[in-house]
Amino acid sequence: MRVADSPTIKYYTRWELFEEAKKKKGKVEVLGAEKQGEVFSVEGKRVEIRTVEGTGHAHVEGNVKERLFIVEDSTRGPLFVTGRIQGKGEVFHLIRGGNIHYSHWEVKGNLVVRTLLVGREIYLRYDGEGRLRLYGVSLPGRSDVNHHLTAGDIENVHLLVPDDSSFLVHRPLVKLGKGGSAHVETRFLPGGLVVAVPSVEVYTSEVETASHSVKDLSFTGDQLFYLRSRGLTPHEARSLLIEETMKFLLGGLYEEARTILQTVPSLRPTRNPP
Amino acid sequence: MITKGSISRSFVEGLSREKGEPEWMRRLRLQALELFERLSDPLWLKGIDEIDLDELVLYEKVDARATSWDELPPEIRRFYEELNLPEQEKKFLAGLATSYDSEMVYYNAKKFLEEKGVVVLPMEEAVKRYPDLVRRYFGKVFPPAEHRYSALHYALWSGGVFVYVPPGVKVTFPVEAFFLVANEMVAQFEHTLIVVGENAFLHFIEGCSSPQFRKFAFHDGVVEAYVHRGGHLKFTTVQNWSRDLINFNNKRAIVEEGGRVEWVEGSFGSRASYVYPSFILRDGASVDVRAFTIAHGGEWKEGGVKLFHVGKDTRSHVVSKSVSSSDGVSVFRGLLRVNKGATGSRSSMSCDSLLLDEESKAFTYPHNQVEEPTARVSYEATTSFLREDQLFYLRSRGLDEDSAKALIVSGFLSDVISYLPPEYASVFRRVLELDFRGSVG
Repeated sequence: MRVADSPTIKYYTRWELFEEAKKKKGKVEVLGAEKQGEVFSVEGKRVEIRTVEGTGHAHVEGNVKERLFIVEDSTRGPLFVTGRIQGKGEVFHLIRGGNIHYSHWEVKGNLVVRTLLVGREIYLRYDGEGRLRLYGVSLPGRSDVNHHLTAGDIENVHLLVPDDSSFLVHRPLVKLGKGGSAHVETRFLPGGLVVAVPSVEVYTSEVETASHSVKDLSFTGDQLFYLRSRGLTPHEARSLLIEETMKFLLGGLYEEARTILQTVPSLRPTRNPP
Repeated sequence: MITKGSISRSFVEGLSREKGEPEWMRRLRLQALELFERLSDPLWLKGIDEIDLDELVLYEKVDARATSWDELPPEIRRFYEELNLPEQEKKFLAGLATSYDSEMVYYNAKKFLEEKGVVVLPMEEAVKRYPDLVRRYFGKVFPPAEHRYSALHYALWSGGVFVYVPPGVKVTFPVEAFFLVANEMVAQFEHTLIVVGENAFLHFIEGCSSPQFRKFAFHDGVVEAYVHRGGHLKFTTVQNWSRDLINFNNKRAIVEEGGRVEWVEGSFGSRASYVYPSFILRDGASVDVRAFTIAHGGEWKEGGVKLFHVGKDTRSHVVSKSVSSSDGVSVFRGLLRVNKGATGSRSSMSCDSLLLDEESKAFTYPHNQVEEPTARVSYEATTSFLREDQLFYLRSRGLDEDSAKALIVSGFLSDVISYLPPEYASVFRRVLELDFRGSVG
């Protein structure tokens, strides 16, 4: 895939690693699911997929009734997850681990997917029909998040939360065909190096809407003055902004992931920052 | 001398000898040739693989170099008269240089330019007459090593123009260079170098054109611009190629402290086109870019703007528009890079595409890299479509369908077209009308 190639940036995605990915030896653990041959199935509850050794492969099928919680953990090795989810409701998708991570989901129905991504190199692909709302947050560290999205109606909003030494990448690619509609947005906070490449490929004029944007979430002088006049320090104002944006994007996942979020020093609200 | 095919050391040395170049230029060409041989085709290129360089005329010596139109051979003059260039020169240009395939065949600068110390010369002549000045900038803004085709350009460059505006001099009338690819299976490698001195001003217009060919032609040009402290460059480029040309354009400006660049880039025609002007902004420098492309009838048009904010308090503003119709594909590859230390920098980029029918496509790949916490950046892009209700409204006002479509396209591009010089804006509107009349939907 040539999508990220550019005349001046020698920096490419590695989707091609997965296009012909073959299964390798490895052990994967899938908790909270029933095994049916090589397929793990889950009914509207919680599933945890993690590598135990080597390169882990798993295929999961799930039905979303109200909420489905998926945790993918590649701490012990690269993890390849494929899956099929359908239904209406919310999917909380937590991906973590220090290894390369490839997750390809076929989605069907009317789904809101909230993702918290903590990892080095994450390739997250959703293909499907219907309406897909994909909201996500990348936490400080070195993280390269690549989305590949096809669906009828897509909204993807992703927040990059770096600290001074972070290198965070968000690179969504939306392919839009007849009758489709898409909005892709990367928001980021100042700090470290952030890279946002919200790409849209429109293949026909028979499309409802197509737009994408990149915005920094910094306060303007006026906004900061207003907040400071209400008694907040700049650090508290920043914490408030991060917290509210993350709550909006993560919804119920925000509470679930509180323990993870608390481990991130730059997210801890403090009245007297060091 | 007509030289076809086989890019080799002896060919490059022969070209350098033919032009009577100094040793440093000969060495630069040979180094670029080595790079060309070493580098592989860039991954981001699509559609250029059909070029067989061995089949192309890489250099054609034209025995004409005139400073008045009457001195030009009639068969060459005819092209420029059809383009109305002699008339435009009389009316509003301070200087004009024109090329015919590989060579500059005409140049003329008004006397007041010389009196102010402004240099407008064909590139080859500038290399001989102002070797130190040219050497200081040539290949320093857009380096040969950037990619394989910029290396090829530096190995084979021929034609182009050198413009130097001394510090403090304001050139109020535009200077124009016009590049014509007149014959098929020809490769044009013209090199333009513009230097704007401290607190100086220049409006430079670049025009490009080619007639219809049965086969195709190849254009691989470079524009380098160096704007010194407090200098101001207004650069307008109007590229109106035929649909049989593969256009590869390498353009870059370095803008020193407090300098300013206004850049208007318009592109019609060409089977495949790759144009990404790039800007390196030092402390307090600013750039305003308005660009549009039309991808019509199976054309693959790549455009985009590359912005490098390396200094403090830099400003950039980009408005890019593209129109795709009849299976045309428009691609936007933008880059915004804000380096650490470029404190207080601001950038806004907007990119809008209009698709006129269901076979057309628009791809948008913006790269935003921000390493400076105090920088403020925004990027927004939309893709819109020709709607039945828009057509219905205009037709109910008495316009036929083709005129209605041309009007919608013209309105969509008006943000950019209004930045063209009036003479060019009216020509553009006319070309738009002809291009879209009866050919969309």
